[in-house]
Amino acid sequence: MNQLIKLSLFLCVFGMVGVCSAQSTRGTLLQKNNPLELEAFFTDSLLDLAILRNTSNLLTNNDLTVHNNSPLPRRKKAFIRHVKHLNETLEQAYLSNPEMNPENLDLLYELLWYKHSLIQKGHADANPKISLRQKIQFLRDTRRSKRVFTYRIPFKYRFPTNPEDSPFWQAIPDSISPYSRFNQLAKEKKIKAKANMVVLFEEVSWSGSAPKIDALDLDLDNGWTVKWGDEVHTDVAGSRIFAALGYDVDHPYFYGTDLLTLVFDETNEVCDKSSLVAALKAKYAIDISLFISTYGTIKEAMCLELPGLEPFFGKQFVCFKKCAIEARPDRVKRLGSFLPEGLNNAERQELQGAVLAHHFIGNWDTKESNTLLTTVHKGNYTYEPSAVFSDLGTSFGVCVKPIRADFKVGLVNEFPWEVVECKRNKLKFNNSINTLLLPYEQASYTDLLWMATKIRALDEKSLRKIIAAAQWPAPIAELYFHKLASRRASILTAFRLKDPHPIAFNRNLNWNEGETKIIENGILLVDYHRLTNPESFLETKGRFRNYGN
Amino acid sequence: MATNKKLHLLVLVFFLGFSSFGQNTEEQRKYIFGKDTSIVALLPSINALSGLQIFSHSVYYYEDIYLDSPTFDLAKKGYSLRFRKRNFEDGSISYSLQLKKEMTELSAIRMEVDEPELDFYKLQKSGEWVSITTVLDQLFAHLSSQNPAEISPSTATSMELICEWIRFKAGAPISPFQKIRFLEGDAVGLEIIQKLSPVLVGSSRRSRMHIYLNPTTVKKEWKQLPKNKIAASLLPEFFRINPTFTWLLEASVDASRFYSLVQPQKGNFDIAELEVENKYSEKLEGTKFLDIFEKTLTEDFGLKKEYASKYKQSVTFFSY
Repeated sequence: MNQLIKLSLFLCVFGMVGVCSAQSTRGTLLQKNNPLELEAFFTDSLLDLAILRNTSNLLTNNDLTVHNNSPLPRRKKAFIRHVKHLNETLEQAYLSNPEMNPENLDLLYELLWYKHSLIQKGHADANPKISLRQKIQFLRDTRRSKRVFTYRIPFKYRFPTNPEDSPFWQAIPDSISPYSRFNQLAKEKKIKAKANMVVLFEEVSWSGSAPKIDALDLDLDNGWTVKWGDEVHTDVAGSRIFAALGYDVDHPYFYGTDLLTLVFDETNEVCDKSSLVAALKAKYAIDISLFISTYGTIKEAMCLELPGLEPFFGKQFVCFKKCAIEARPDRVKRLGSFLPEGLNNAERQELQGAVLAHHFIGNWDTKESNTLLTTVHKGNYTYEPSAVFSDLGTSFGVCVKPIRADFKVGLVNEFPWEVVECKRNKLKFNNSINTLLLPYEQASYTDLLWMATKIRALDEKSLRKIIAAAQWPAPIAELYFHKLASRRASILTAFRLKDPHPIAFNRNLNWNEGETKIIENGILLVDYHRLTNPESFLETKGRFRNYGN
Repeated sequence: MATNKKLHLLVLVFFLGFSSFGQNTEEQRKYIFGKDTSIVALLPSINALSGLQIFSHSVYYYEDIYLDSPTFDLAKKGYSLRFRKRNFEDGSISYSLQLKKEMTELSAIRMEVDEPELDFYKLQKSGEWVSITTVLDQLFAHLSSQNPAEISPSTATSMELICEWIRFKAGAPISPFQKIRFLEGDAVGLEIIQKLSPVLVGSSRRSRMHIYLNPTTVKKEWKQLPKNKIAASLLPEFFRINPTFTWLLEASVDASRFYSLVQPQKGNFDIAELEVENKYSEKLEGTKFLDIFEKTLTEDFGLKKEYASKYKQSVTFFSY
C-alpha cells in the first residue's frame, strides 16, 4: 500500500487534534493530501534515518554550499539550532518507534519545507535579475488575470469555515481587533520602531527594484531596510491589511521629515550623503537626493536633542523628507519562498483565499519571490515557521507601462472604487496580478467567500488606523479610506454577506484647501505637495523613470 | 623573514575572508609560563607599557574529556575533539562538543567547530531516556576523584554509553562530526568518528581578562580607530557599562591538569598558559594589537610562544 495512504489512515485514526495541541501556536502543516515528497522519508512505512539525516545535514552544514549544481545560501545559527532540535526529536522518535505519529510527521513536513525553500533561495540568489522571459510572463499573466478572475456563483455550496491554524494563516481571536494583529506580530518578533529612529548604514541592498539600503539598529542585533519611492505608504498599509486578515507579513513603518537619521561609518565606501546618492543611482538608476531633507556632521546640539546620537558625534548623517523602514529582526530568520506552488500548498484554502486579499488592496506584484518562509524565535528554544506575505507595496493604484518597462504604485486615482462586479450569476474582479500562482488560479468561489468574511471583519476603526499608520498626506489618506470602504462594500455585496458594521463612504468626496480644490468628486486633482512627496501621487512615471523628476 | 611575514598576512587575509562565509575560526596566540603564575598579577602593569588596558572580569573552571581513536587518528591529523563542561562563578553550567585544528607557526588562525548545546541530546540508559549531559556529569564527577585515571565500573559504563552515542550519531547533524566528515570524506570520516572514545581527561582554572582601549588614556595614533562592531547581545557587560571603551583582545590564564585514560600509570601532566584572542571587528587592526601585546609579553615578561594545543602537548607528554 502506498506509504502516504498508510500515513493518512494513521492520521484518521489518531485525528488531527493531537497535532495542533503539540505544535504550540504555529498550528499544523499537515493537509488532507500531504505532499508526495514526504513519502521519500519512509522505507516500508518506517522512517529512514539516512534520509532524515541527509535533509538535516543539508540544512545545517554550511560546508555544503551546492545542491544539484545550484548554490545554497548560508544557514544562520538560530536556524541551524532549530533544525537540530527537530532532527533530534525525530531521531529519538525513530529509536522509540520508527512508525511516525502525526506530531512527528508534522515535524518532518517542516524539515521538508525548509529544504525546498532553501534550494529555491539558492536558485533565486544565483539569478537575481528578472529575465526578459519572466517579464513577458508577467505581462501575459497581467492580461490573463481578468479572464481568470471571473467566477460563476454556484447554485449550491457549503458555506466555508476557517481552515485550521497553520504557519500560513491564523485565525484572529475575537478579543483582538484586526488592526492590532500587526502590532502583536511585531511584538512577538521583538520589533521596536521608535518615534525617532537612528540607524547605521551597512550596505546598499542588492534586491528588488525600489531603492533601498540595509541598516543596523543601534543595538547592532537587529537590522532595518530603508526604502524610498512610491511604496513607502502603500507597503505600510498593505502589510497591515494582510495582518488584519490573519496572515504574517513584513513589518514596514513610515517615517516623515527628519524622523529617521541615517548615520555613516567613515570607513565604509558609502560614508556620506553624496556617496549614498551616487551608490543608489549606480544600483537602481534613481536619484534619491530629492528625498533628502538634511545632512552633514552630527553636532553636539543634535546629540542633546536625540541622545541615541551621542556615540556618533562627529560622524556624517542624512535625514529624509520621507522614507519607510522595514524590520529585519534578529529573532526572524528568512529562508526562501514559502513555496505557494510546491508541496501541495496550492491546495490550501488559506492561500487560495489570499487572492481576494490581493484584490482588496489592488496588489499587482504577486510573484513567488514575494512570499517568504521564516523561522521566528519565540524564546526558550521555541522556534516557529511562518509564511510571510512580503512586499505588498505594489498596490493601491498601479499603472503598468509595458513599452516603457516601468510601473508606478500608490496612484490613488488608479485605485478603483470597486473590486468586483456582479453580473447575473458571475463575479468579475478588476484587479490584475503579474503572477498567476497556482493557488490563485485554482481558487474557487468558496475560497474567496471565506476571505470575504475576513474582509468583513475589518471595521471602520481598524481601517482608519491602518491608513493613519501609512501616513499619506491628509486628503489622500481620506480618499483612500473612502475607496477602501467602498471596495470592502463591493466585496460584501458580491458575496451576499451581511455587513455587521457598514462603513460609510462617499464616492463624490471633495477636499478643498483654501481656494484650491484638491479632490473633486472622488478624484485627486493636484499633484499634492510635490516637493515633500517627490514620488508624486499623480505622475505615472515610476521608479525606472525617476518618478518623472 | 619579509617573505614569511607576507605569507603570514596572506594566510590571515584568506582565513578572515573564509571565516566570514563558511568557517568558525579564531585568531589566537598562546604563551607558556611554566609554574610561575605571578604573571597574572603582572599583567595589569602592561597598561603603562603599551597603552592597552586590562580588566580581569571572571574566573571559571572547566573540565574536558578528549576523544580519539585507538590509533589517535585525530591527533595525527592535527585535530582535537573534546566534551567540555564549564562551571561559571554564578553557578551556571554549560556543555559543548568542540573540534579544533592545531595552530601552526604560519597561522594563528584556528578552526573551531562547536556544538554549543548538548542538553537536548538524549541517550537510552537502562531503557530510560537521559540527557547526554547527565552521563557526561558522571564522567566529570569521576574527574574530581583522587586518581581520575583509575576507572571504576560505573565510570566504564558511562564511557561505553558515550561511545555508543558517538557511534550512533556519527552521521548526524552534529557540527564537529559534520566537519570531520566534510574534511576527511564521508566514508573515512564516519569510520574515524565511530572509533572515537575518551582518551584524556583534564580540568582547568581559567582567569579571563578584557584588553581594551580607553578613549581618555589612549595613544594619539589610536584615537581614530573605529568602534568595535559587536551586537549588543554579544557584548560583555563591562563594555555595555562603558560604551566608549573599545574591546580589542580577550586574554585567559589557564592552569590545567591532565590524566591519561590510555596510560594511567603515567600520572598527571600540568600546563600553565596564557591565551590571547583577537576580538576586534576590524580583524587586521586586531592582529596589530596582538603583535603589540606579544612584544610586551615575550620581550618584557619573557613568555614563550606556544603553538601546540593542550591536547597535542598532552599527547606528546603521555607518548601516545
